[in-house]
Amino acid sequence: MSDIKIKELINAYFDGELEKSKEAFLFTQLSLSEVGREYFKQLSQIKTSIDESLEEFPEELDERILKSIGKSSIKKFNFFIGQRIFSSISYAFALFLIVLSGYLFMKVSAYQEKVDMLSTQMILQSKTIQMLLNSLPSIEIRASSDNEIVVKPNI
Amino acid sequence: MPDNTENIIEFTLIFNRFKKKLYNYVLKMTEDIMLTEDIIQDIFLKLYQNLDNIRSKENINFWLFTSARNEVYGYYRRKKIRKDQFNVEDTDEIEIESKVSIEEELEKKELKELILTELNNLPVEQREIFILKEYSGLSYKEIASLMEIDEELVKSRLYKVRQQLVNRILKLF
Repeated sequence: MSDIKIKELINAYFDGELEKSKEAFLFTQLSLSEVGREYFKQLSQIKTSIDESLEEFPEELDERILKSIGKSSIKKFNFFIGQRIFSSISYAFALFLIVLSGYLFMKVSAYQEKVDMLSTQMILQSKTIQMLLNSLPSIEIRASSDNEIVVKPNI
Repeated sequence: MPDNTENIIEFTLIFNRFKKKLYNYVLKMTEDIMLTEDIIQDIFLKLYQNLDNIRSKENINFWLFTSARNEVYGYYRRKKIRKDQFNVEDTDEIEIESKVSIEEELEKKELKELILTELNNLPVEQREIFILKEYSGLSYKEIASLMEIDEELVKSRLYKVRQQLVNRILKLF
């Protein structure tokens, strides 16, 4: 196996991207290649050195971020409460409007019934008057020769 | 359980999982502790505020590193830092110039300091890949997707950077 190929495998191994099944193959190749072993050692040195140079996350920053998150969530919560109060008021107002319109509807219906009743009564009364008028006996008006008008009920 | 509490718990888990990786990435890219802290705080605050939207849409890891990357490049643009390194092509050989003599370096620096110094001499794209891999522990696939390049290019760039470092170490020790 060429040196370049072994180096590629070593790189993949250190990157954690080498399949488990190929690891045994890599170590077999390393036992046969002096260049490969040397390269492996150097990368291992670099890796160790990098791991040592990894900075820890500053505690002060940790605290600062969590505090700002806390503040942000309180603001969010207050906003949420504000929104809830606002929506509660809106709901209450809407409910009041619904009740008011129901009450007004009932009132209007009652007036309408009264008007209907009155108009029915008026119709009945006018019919009664009509009937009374119709029940009166007919009359006869006749003119005589000496210009005298005789009105005579035809009973 | 109220949504707010759920979000705080979820945020804390994400924060503890990614804070170190992200911090090291931004710090190594900017080499400015104050700026790094500001960027990290800003990113995590944005993450918390947009947690509901981000969770359903995309990978948190990807979102965090993309945001950090945008901030870092924004900083480069604002400060016009390493202007010459923005359009560096993927060269096969990278000249690492040494202004200080090897003997002096040996006296002054340990290996880890040497690696950091050498990294700073690399073009920004190669340095970024190396930092994302070594300091943030991202996979080839994640780096490729973050930088919008091919996975093979990630591998080859990493290989080249390591080769440069190995050569440098061989010269020194």
